[in-house]
Amino acid sequence: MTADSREEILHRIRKGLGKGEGGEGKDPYPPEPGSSSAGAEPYGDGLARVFEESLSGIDTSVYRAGRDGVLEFVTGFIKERGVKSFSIWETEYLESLGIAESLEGGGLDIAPAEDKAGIAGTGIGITEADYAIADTGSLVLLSAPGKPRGVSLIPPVHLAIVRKENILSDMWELFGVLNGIYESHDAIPACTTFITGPSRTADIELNLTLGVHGPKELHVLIVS
Amino acid sequence: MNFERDSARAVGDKKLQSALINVTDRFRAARKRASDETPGWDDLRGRAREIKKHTIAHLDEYLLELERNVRKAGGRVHWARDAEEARNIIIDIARRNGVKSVVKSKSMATEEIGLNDGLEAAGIRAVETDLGEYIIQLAGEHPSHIIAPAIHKTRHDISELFAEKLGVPYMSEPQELTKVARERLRGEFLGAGMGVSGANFGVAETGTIVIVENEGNARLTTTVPPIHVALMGIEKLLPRFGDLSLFLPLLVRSATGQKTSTYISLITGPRRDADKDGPREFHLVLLDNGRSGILADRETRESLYCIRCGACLNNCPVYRKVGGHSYGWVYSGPIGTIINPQLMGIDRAPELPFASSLCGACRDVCPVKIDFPKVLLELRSKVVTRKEKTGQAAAIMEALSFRFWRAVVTHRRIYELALRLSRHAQRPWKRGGVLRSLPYPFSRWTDERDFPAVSETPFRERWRKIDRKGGPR
Ligand code: SF4
Repeated sequence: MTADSREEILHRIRKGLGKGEGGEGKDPYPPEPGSSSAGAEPYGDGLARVFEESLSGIDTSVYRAGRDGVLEFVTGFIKERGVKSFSIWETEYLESLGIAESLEGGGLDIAPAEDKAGIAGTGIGITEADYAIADTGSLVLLSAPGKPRGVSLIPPVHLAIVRKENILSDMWELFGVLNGIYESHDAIPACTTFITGPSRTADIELNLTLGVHGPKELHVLIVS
Repeated sequence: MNFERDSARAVGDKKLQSALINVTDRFRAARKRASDETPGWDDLRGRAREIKKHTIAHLDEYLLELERNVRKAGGRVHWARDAEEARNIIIDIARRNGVKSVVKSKSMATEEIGLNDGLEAAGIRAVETDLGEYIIQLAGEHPSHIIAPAIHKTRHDISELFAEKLGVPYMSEPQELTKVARERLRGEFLGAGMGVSGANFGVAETGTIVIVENEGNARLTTTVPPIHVALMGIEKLLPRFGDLSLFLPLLVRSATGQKTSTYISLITGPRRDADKDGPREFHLVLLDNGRSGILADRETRESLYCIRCGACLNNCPVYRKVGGHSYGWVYSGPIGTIINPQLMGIDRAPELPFASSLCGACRDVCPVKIDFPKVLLELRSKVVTRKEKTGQAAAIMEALSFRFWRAVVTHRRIYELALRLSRHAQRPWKRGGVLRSLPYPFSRWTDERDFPAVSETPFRERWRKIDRKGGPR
């Protein structure tokens, strides 16, 4: 690229819009995108139940556990599948539950995040969703040093742990929360990923096929 | 390009016809359901239109804001005036980094600039990773539908293709075929030096680009290789991060009728220093390629509001018959009829604004409410004005024909004489009240449809008889 291209494109745009070179300064605010049309938030367990329902409509298995039951659930889940290795996010919460040590103690190999081929060889990736959206059944994952992107993407099975208090009602609410965090540019992660169900395609005769590139199975554990 | 020839071919292709009806019916019904279930759908479309209108009216400022924020996040921004410059920018990045092979996720913009051929000519392998695009690339063809690119191929076509090109045994289950593609492409992802994607949106406020998909190949493309290059048309901007809460549901529900897609990636710069994965370099290429030229015409400027959902294609009676291959360029259906002539230059696609019945079905489903009939009429008048100016033979012929027709129908004696002549002349071709095939130049009509024959007894005569018998009046 030359600096000329940039100037030329900007010049063409301004000419097309009938503006002077300086640009006139925009109307103070563009029109608002709108806000949630959902009514008052459901009480108690309501959001988690809406979330569960949304997940069951998109080929995703959903489970419930109390904080004390998580470790038992995860070890049972892994034993059932007979996988030999796994990858896992290193978040404060997951570490406090001791999942990684317990699985390693049980003889499983852990694949380090920077080893993509290693992760590709593992049977399961375990993450903790930062947020979940009840209305759509979506998980929202923010990348960070202990939270590599490949763990929810490369292994054939993804197990996501969602803390009940992180379930939000809809997209509008989620973007409200993210907007608050991302106001400081340093806080914006390299990748914010929304995951809604397992990887899917209908490219061959409109036949639904799961697991084309991403995980074939998505499991969500809601912890209250 | 030749819309007439290519669309005729498409209409005669039985396999394509049933595939097109299948896919468009499916997406139409799904979009209808999703929009009915979304409270205030019409109001949301109205807001989206207003936001796009505002953004395009301040495009220069928002582009500069985007550039600033991508840089702040550690990314690099390139500006490309046209297709060639965009190709060269991407090839340059690859060369500088010694990249031998590139994985690509689905992107109309990369098709627009002919990136794959460009890379290949530079000795760099480019592999499409969206399953449909992968199939099409192996077959050396072009996509027939914006969202389901390989829909014109049956599972048997694909089995044979895979057997021939990948050397795998014949298998006919979509599941098995998908698995073969998954394994092949995994190798490509791990070995690629660079990933190239498009962008569904670019957010000025945060310097974020957004990619919407179902398969996960775009996530792999933008996560696994050490370099990520995103190519984005300059019109794809949104001002604020929060605008996504409106535009994401509108896009996905209009496209496939899902409440949301399986994956949405909001990418802001390359991996942060301490991150353990993600690309080390992020490049955003901003593509003009004729877009800025559309701004000057206030009547057609709204063509740039399009978010490429494909809903107008699925709901277009013309597209449903002729499919994606007939529009001569990457963009097809109603959006193709307005954007191709404006991006390519109206002289290179003068038929397209006429490839519409102006029924307005596209306008009614468009999530940003593009007023197609208005824009099409504007473009038509441009085409006609040009033709008159250049005095093209066809325009002259058309004018002469109409003058001749007027002379015939406004003079009774000439009219009757003409009828009598036609009645005799048509006899050799007449089959039960219609003419099925006529010699050239009339064959251009009868090749695709019948022409009603001139009645043996003129209406005037029948009328007189009815009258005499005292029949019904
Ligand atoms: S013109 Fe409207 S309906 Fe057609 S692809 Fe663009 S946004 Fe969708």
